Amino acid sequence: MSVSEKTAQAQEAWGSRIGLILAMAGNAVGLGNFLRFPSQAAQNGGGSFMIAYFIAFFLLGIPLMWIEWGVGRHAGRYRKGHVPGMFAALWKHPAAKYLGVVGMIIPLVVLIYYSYLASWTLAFAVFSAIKDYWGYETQEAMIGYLRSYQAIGDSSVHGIGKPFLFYFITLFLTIWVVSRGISAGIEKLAKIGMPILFAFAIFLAIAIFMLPPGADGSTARDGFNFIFNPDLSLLKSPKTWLAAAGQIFFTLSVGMGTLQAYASYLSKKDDIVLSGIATAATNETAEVVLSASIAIPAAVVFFGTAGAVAVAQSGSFNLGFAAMPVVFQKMGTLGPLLGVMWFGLLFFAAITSSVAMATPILAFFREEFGVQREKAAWILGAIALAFGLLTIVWFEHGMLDEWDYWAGTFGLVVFATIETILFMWVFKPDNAWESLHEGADIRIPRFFKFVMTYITPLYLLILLTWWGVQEAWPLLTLAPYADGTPRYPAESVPYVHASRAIIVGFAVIAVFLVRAAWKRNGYNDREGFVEVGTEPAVVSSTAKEVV
Amino acid sequence: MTTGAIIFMAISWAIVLSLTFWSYRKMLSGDK
Repeated sequence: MSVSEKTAQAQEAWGSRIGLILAMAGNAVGLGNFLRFPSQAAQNGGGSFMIAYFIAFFLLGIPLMWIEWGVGRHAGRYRKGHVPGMFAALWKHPAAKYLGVVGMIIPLVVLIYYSYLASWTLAFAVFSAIKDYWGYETQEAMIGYLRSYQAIGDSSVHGIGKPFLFYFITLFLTIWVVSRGISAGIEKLAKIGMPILFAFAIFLAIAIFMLPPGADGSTARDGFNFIFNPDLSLLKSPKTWLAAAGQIFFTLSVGMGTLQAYASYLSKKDDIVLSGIATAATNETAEVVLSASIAIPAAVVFFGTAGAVAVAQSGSFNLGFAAMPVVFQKMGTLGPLLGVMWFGLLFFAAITSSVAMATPILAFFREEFGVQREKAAWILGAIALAFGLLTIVWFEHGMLDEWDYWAGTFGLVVFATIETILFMWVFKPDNAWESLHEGADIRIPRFFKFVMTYITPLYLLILLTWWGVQEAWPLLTLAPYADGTPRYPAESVPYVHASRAIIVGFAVIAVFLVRAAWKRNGYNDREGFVEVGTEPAVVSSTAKEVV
Repeated sequence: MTTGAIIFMAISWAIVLSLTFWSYRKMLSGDK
């Protein structure tokens, strides 16, 4: 690597504060905001869910947001944009870097399957524009249309090439953006994509609010009733509280290593306290205000309250990809445009999250092995493509479900628990507090120091234990459901094991790479890293790459 | 809409929107 490349790499930074906030918010706002939230709220007590939701937001979401910005910005002092380096910067112990492997595997695995989900939104935006699904006027028919797209063996509607084509385009766009770097790639995408996302969402919300009453007299306002009407008896149920905490967790994109990676490009003069709140608030506006005004109100108008219940309970993807297209077909000449807007906003929500997932992995190879950004990005793209193709082919055998659970659900809580303990307990609350307030525009109320030290870790441990017992262990052992139904058909079980083995394989490779990186750069676990700008004048031959 | 739904929706939206407007106003004004 030339000196100029080293300098350019070392100087990579955000171009503007608003660009940073939009990129962070783009990372947080994803498919879960628009597809998962409305069905979770409707299924878990409406207004009662919102009580548990906001308590989790203030005791879990905002504190985790600050912790992740703090962990990332602290590691940025040592030019570490990857989680093994971040953990090693907090805890001067040989084990720290290996704990950080969790934060390499999660974004890699999620990047691979999430790009596939993002490709559905791109495909359905195109299908809306050319009215490809017009004529599939019932939910059942649309579910068949969706299944034919998902199942490679079923070419009743879609040819076998379409899912691969849209996946390739989506992944290519993702990698092309990250290959251009933080400011010229990710920040620019956020500055274009986020305003479009919000504009589309506002237009859709207004169009749906102004719809005339449906066949049974239901209006969009009845949809709000569906989401916000309180069933206070459900507040006694742990399920409501855990569902709310889970939604806060997923919606803010915490526990992925991505917020930290973005924050590592900030200096100690930059504020992270107010920026963290602005990011979380932007995400919540997209979720609680806009998302609540689109899918469920539209479903209530066109399918009635009972129909909307069935839609919400049939899952997030059926709501987004089967019910909504039926709605668009009933909206006259505006239908195709609204379809493009709906799937377009989902696409921007997804791709602004996908580029974030690539960032920490790229940072590892650039910072530790001196690989050029473009080269690292396209190599990552090739790896993601290879395993992404497998995800498409094995979709019907549960590969995506497995990866989504182990990396994109349970893994997030494991990671967040580890980082919270490292930042608030190992790094010490006083150091964490001081670190968060460097360059801060506002002071965090002191009460939150107590929350972040005790309440947030406790919340996480409860979530981890509950999900571990209720979901993770039965899934790991492939125990049948309570009614005796097997989790997977017998022919899918080998694919399930293979999907899990790939994650384990990634972890083993990551451990070796981390070990090789530390050896190559001569890092001393007990002494820690050298802060950028304080390096000795003569760089040793072993630590020759950018520190 | 029921009264309960109106109240919970109003409170939810008020929390989220006020936090958003407050944080952006604070950032844009550069108040410390």
